[in-house]
Amino acid sequence: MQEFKEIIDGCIRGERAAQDHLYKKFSSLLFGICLRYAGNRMEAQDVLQEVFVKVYNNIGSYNHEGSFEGWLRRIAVNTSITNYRKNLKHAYQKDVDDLMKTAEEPASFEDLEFTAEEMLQCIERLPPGYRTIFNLYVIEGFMHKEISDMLGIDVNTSKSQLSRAKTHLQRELKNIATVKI
Amino acid sequence: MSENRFFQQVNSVMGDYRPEVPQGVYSGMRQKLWWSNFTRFSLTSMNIWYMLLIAGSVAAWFSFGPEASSVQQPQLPSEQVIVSSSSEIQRTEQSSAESPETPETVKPRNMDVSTQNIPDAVVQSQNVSAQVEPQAVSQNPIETKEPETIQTPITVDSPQVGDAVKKGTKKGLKVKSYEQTEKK
Repeated sequence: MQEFKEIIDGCIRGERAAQDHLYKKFSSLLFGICLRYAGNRMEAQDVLQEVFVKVYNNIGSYNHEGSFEGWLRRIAVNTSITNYRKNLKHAYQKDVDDLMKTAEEPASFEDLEFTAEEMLQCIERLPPGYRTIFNLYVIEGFMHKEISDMLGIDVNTSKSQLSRAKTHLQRELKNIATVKI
Repeated sequence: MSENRFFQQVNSVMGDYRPEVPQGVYSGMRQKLWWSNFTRFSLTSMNIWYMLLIAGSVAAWFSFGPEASSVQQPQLPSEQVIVSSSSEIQRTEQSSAESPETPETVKPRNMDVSTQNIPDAVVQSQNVSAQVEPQAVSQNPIETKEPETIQTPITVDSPQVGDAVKKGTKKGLKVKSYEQTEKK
């Protein structure tokens, strides 16, 4: 915590060394979050850059009470949601298209081991709306009420999209498992 | 497989996922950070607001500064039209009758050219040419301000002056040119 405090104080003073230290320490963690929410790596890289710009510009508002990593995670998630909203018009069309496909066949998922890259590959294939709700609920641990407030949607929409996201993801993972075998 | 178990499995795998960040991301982030700081107002660092202020000041200085006023050339009047009231003209006539040789000594009170009180006024044109005697010119307050105006020959027959005389005549006003006054 003391180490973080020095880095944070250096970043507040605008010291480049402290900023670089912060980047080296947390860039991979935040890139992982950005990748989960973004549709591809390029988009995730853009979001990660915006995340760090926000962190450096607003690090003075961190009050040293909560977890610093949690604070960074929250900025990454919020920036990803902002990015999702920016692309919402296109995302909606994709959601409808994919909804037609997923409604055809409910997948039966078996208990198999998957790597993070395999899971990420499947998550990236989810429609943006499903992907965002799935990440917020499953990994970030938000409740449906909080998700509905964050995204400006109905609670039932959040629940139904999570269910469809799960079905979609299980089917994708099953396909990967079949290829493995 | 239950829903919770599946979610736990995903969470355990993806929760602490730390992929390698490509090299180009750092330089891009630095550029974005520089631009962000540049466009944000700060008292301590040079930013776009200071640059706009400096550019605005320079532009204002070139537009309204002392050099700008010296660069502007003085506008030479093409003609001088003295507008005076009818009562003053009558007074002028009386005085000219008394002393016909010096009509230029009569100084109209309203010398402001911008006063265009046409219904009440008589437009009197002046021919500021070489015919005017230097003494008479020196007595006129307008002409003494800029001696260059004396060198610009303006004839009474110019269409603008003629129009003004015609307009005045049409409206039943007594129009008298400077030449007529001079002849008297």
